[in-house]
Amino acid sequence: MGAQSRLLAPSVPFRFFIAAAVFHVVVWALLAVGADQVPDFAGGPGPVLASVHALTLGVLAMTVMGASFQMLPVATGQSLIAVWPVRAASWLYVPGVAALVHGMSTGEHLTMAGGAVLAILALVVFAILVGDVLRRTRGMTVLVLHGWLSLAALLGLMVLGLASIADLEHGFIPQRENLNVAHMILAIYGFMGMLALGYSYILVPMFALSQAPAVAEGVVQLVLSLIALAVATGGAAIGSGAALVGAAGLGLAVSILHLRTMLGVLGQGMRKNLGLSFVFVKVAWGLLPAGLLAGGLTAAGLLGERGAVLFGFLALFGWLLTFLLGMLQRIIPFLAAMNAAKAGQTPPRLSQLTQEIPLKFHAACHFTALALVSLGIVLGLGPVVLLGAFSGLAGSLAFLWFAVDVARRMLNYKPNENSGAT
Amino acid sequence: MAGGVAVWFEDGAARLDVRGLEPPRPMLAIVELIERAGTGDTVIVRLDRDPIYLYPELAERGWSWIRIPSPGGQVILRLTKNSPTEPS
Repeated sequence: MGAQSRLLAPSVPFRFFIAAAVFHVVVWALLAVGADQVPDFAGGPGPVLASVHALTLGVLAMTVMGASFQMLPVATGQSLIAVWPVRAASWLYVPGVAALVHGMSTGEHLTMAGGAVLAILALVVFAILVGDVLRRTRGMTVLVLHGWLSLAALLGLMVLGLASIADLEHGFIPQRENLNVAHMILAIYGFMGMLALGYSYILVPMFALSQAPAVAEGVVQLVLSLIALAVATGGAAIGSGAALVGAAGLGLAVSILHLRTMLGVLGQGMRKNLGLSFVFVKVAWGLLPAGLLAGGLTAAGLLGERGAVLFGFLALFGWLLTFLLGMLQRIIPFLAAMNAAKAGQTPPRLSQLTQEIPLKFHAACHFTALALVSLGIVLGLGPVVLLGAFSGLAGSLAFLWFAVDVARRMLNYKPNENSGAT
Repeated sequence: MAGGVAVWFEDGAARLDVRGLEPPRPMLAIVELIERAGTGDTVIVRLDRDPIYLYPELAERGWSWIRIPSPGGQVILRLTKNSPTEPS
């Protein structure tokens, strides 16, 4: 028995990662289709809403599911209660998100609702499995608390999301826009944001070969984040601009504390050259406060009509997507290396599994896309958004190539049996 | 000390006990030790659990490992530096 005894079959995490890479292509393609509507987007079915949900559910949550099912049990030392629910969750989730995105794009309510139900069922399975691991974990306080908070936010956003879809057909919610903003805040800063922050306390020190930050530091930041999230969600629900401004201000302060902590971790790390993946991570860290600033200024009425769109783009694409793509560039080859070697064999070097050219091409396209789409939103120019979306699309195809190629190399790896481990 | 953990030498091998430490401290201590001049070619490590994230780091640095049978669920690894001609 060796490392392999703690790893899931590679098909389990990789089905989520490959699906996320495919939805990543869909995200940019839909954004290109709806480019003209992006600068003045105010909600409602169509390609822009579909693109946003292809991103949040198809890329971000999909990756979180794959990574959590594999990496959380390894990090905490607590196994999943069973693996078959993970497979069942993928069978529900991938077609569910596809149907939801298709329904949102075309405005077919039944497809949208059916997809949402499948996706929510899968997310409930995810929440039960991850909650069970968190419940049994001893220590790792910061990660565990972030995990619980994320699951609580997931519950809230699922309820609000279902209500919003039902309201499209039946129209029973008086202040629909308020509910949608609360749903968005819970998704970005609650469910996804808390996981991104929580995992950072483990993954960043691990990749940088550095000491983890002090627990007290993490707990203080978590409590402040929780206050900001509660004020923002409550403020959005009742339509209070002042509450949103206050929450954005607090969130901005916490994000700066988080960046200070993370830069401290990198500064102490034994590994100074963290490669292209951490260029993504650092850009994402910069865009976290930028998004909060845009959100706060929009709530204060200082950014005009397009401020909300800019805020959403910076938070979702700028912060979360960029952060996740940076982490995925490291996690995919890392897991592939461990899965490539059978018991009694040494894993391949990460460089043996990774092609640099698609990643460099993806990086150039991704950052170009972020700049162009942001510019297009600010100037209200659909053609500039379209150029950005094409750039993002080209990059997403390169990223898909990278992910599939790593999986192919993992499956074809022929280890040297003389360099073994047991 | 390596990564804040005591190191001692016994039977020609550097030894490290990282039980009770939260991730990523065990990995950090082990990598710090094997990268240090004077550690030698063999390190014995005692851990709470299988250090999955460590193995690619060892492979990158040209070290192999053997798991030594041990009681009570704990993990003991013998890490060996590959010779220059040996593929890692």
